[in-house]
Amino acid sequence: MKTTPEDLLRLRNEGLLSEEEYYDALDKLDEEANGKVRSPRSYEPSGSVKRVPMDPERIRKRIIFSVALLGIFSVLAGIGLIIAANWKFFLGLPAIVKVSFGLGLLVISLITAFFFHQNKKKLWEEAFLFISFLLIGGNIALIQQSYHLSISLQKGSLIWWLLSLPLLFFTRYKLLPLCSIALLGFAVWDIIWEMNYMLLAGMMFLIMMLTHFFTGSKAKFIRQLAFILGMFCLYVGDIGLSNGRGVLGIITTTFFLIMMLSSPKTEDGAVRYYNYLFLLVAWRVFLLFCRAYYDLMNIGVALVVFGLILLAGAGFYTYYYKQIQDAIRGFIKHE
Amino acid sequence: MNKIKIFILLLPFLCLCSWAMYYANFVKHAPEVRLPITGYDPRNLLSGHYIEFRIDWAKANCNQLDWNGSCPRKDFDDVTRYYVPESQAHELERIINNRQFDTQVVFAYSKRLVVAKELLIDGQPWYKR
Repeated sequence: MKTTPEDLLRLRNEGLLSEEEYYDALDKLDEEANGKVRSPRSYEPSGSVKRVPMDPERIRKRIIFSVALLGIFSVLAGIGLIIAANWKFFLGLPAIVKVSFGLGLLVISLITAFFFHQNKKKLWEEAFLFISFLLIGGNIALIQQSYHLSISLQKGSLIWWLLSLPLLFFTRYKLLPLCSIALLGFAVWDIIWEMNYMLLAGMMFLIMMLTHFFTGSKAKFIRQLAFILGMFCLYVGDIGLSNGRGVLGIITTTFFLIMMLSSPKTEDGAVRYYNYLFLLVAWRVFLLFCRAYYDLMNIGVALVVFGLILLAGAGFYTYYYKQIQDAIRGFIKHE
Repeated sequence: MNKIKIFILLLPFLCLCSWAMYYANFVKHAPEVRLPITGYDPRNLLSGHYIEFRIDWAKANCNQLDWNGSCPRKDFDDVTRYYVPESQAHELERIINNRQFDTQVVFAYSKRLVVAKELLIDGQPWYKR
């Protein structure tokens, strides 16, 4: 006889399955049914779920995990301090050797994260993703030091943010996206009141939102935050532009916003919403590009290039329309 | 699918590697120029582990490479830092401010890209003094 989610719930409520085993079994059932994994916590069979106390085995695992995580941080911090204390020793080494050392740590951390990702050890994967996030920042500083680059803190943070974006495709928790938002906020803090940068920041937040959309299930609140910040920056940036140069931006952004918000709260509506969001980002990139090159000749060249890109994009979109829509649908269902 | 995933995950590493290799290659192959430096601001010369400097164009030799007597000052505008160990920082600050020694920085310079390579004090790398 085939096991159903209700059977599993009954076993859990009777204490025959731990919470973790229950969710693992649900995942397996789901995989068998749909050929893909759904967010474990979002799946509950109908009917009320009785809260069960956390079982000792799970508590033990959490304690071991916390201690191990503390150990990893301690080792990393220790290595950092040893290097700092023996800086003079490292002076004799060529810059590329110093940099290779840092990059070696990063690649080990990334591969370990991937290993845990493959083995579905979500907490360990998350821990190594976070360590990789820190190591990316550390490596930027190391390259900067090794080649005496005059990179400001804000510019360095922006590079760090950009390079750590791929990690967000793997994260399932809020920690990394929150750090990412904080980093981006810090990076654009001192340039944010310059209107063109404000617009750039707005687009970055929207791009971040799109990235988080593809990260999976638990980042909804981050996406909402990124969307609100993005739209805020775009409007403030447009209003602040002199000589009415922001009018086109305000009108078109409002149009896209209305179209997005009027999308019905169904699966089709959600697909429409994300299609409009993609279009809005593409349009804003184009507007910013035009504003950066105010010269007529440059705008002419820009229009030709952008037109060709649009035509190529339209061709690609038409050819792969069904696959693209299915992919978006897949991610929405994943939620 | 796994190949795509691992590629996405390794993207930051690949970008950082390319960045580091680019500078390593540039520093190794680009022609060198030597320019005298002074402290940027005596009250704020050191910030953490780096020295903030300014090129002393009045004393600079503008006949290096193919400059023909005209130094490309603008290309050097953004190069203002030299990283040093914290324990040596105050000593170096004193040396640069006293101006009793000839302090120069060796730059790798090509196609308007500039990277500081070495800090020289009286013609010697600073750590050999």
